Amino acid sequence: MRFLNFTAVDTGKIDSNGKPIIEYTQHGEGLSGKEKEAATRWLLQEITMPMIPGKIKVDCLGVGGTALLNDGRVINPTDEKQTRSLRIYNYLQDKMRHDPCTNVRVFDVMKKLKALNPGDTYLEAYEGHYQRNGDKFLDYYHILHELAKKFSFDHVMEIGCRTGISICQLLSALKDNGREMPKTIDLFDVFNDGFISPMLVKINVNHIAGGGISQEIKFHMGDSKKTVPEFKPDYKMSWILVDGSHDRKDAMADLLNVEPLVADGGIICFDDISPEPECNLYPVWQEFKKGREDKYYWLESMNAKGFALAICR
Amino acid sequence: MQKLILSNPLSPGDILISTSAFRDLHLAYPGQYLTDFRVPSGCEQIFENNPYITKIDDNDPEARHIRLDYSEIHRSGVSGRAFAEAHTMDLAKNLGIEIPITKLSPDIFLSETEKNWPNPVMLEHGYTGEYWLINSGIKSDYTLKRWHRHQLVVDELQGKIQFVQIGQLEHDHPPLKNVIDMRGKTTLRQLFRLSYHAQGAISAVSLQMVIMMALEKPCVVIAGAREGCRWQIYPKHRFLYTNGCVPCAPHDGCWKSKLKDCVNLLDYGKVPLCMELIKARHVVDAIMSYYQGGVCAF
Repeated sequence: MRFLNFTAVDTGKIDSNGKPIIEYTQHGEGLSGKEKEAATRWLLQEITMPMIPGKIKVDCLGVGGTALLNDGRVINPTDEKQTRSLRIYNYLQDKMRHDPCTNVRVFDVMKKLKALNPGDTYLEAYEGHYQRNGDKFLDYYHILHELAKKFSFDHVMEIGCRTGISICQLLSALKDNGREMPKTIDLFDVFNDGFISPMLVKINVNHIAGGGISQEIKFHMGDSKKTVPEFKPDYKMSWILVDGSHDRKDAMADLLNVEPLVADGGIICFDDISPEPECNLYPVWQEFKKGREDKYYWLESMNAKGFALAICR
Repeated sequence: MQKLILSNPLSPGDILISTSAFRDLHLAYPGQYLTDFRVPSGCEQIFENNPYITKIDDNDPEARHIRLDYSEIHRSGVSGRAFAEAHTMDLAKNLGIEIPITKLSPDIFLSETEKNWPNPVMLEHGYTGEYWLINSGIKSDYTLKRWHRHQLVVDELQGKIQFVQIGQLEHDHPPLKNVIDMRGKTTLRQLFRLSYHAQGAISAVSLQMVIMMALEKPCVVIAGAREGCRWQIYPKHRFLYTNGCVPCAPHDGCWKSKLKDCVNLLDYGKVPLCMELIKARHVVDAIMSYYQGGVCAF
């Protein structure tokens, strides 16, 4: 039998760079030295062991085999589709909590945008959430920064991009982590309130991400109930944000309309599911989940505005 | 507390200028009146953020309905009164009280977001520099207000001043060259924001002139001799009028509206004499005087 028994222990100590010191032990049977080394590297990369305090054992049937985590989750690296969705799901299990460093990054982006547009009070609203929720504060912005540490997004779309804060968070996160910018960015909005415009989004994106990335953005102006079904790209999305109309029928229509566009391993993010005023879309999400339990991996947070993720299996 | 529903069915410029009546009433009699308005659809935007407005139901039995008028216009050629006073005077007469005039400008209340948000030129075109607005068109019911030398002004000031052309597409606003085109791209509130961020404006006697009055910003008004000059003149504006220069408006304005009614047309019936007398250099000089005087800066 070929396997690798892997253990990581957070010693609770901090090294000179401020990082936690993790002690690893491993032993394999039926594996060559190179295989053992490769399997260990794979596990470290895929399961982000160092970020999990405590002790975790993994039995791995060799590189390219199946890894069984001691909490019952299974990782099969030979199935690319399952790997990405499961990798994301497993990774995010441990990221659905407040992280002060990530929080700083999120607010850093928002403060940069605020400097460009002092009239936008979104930062103040966001600060209010942080003050009320403290070290429990979590938003999908935080998740974007966490995801970008491990994953790239080649095709992304948003319904309800407003001033472009969300796409700026994503691009900033990718840039900070040295990842490639998305090949396509499709932004849907009605742009009819007199305050937001494609030009404003472009200015914000260039300010945050630079490099002319805004040239790659395609804007789809109008009612998303019409524009999204009319949108027939020859690519599938690895990130879809649904944050358009908060009328429940409209929100459900948006979810249903983006579903054919999501790639295997892609993520549908649905914002504002908490019971807070102007949010309260959880019933829509519940309805969307019905009959799709096995089609996606599901993650939810009810902190602050609340958000939900469906990771396409 | 008396409830008043004040109505004004006229154009946006007339409605905007009538906001001075709301203000003056409340300043003279604080806490004694509740006021609401009834105006044509779309013009409600004029009253956004206005602290003198309270929602009053049409069927409220305690509400008194008054149509705001400005009958003083009929004496304006000899009284020297300003349009900004007229609604207040009319309201005072209706209520049987005295309402002191507090200032010669109407009210636009912009929210902090409206003031601090990027201006509509930036949102539409990405342009971030200083600019002047230019309203060179006319409404079909006032063809006598057209002036014919806007392009010359733009050309003369090219490289010094960036002009942003405004105007509703359903009116007659032929495109100008070498300007940023914002025609048909603004709601009333957006036009207010556009004006707030502008250094100044060139306009006929129009809504744009009244907006610049409310915001107390420079405006070169190309008036000709259609209206009594003291009726429309506002201290911060350069009001280019030709009353007294033409026999058809020897003192008061001629008060005609259509080109076809003008008795002193030139250029094969296209240009009224009172407008012909206003040269491009007069407008350029008027604009430059704001810079020479220090109100505006390059």
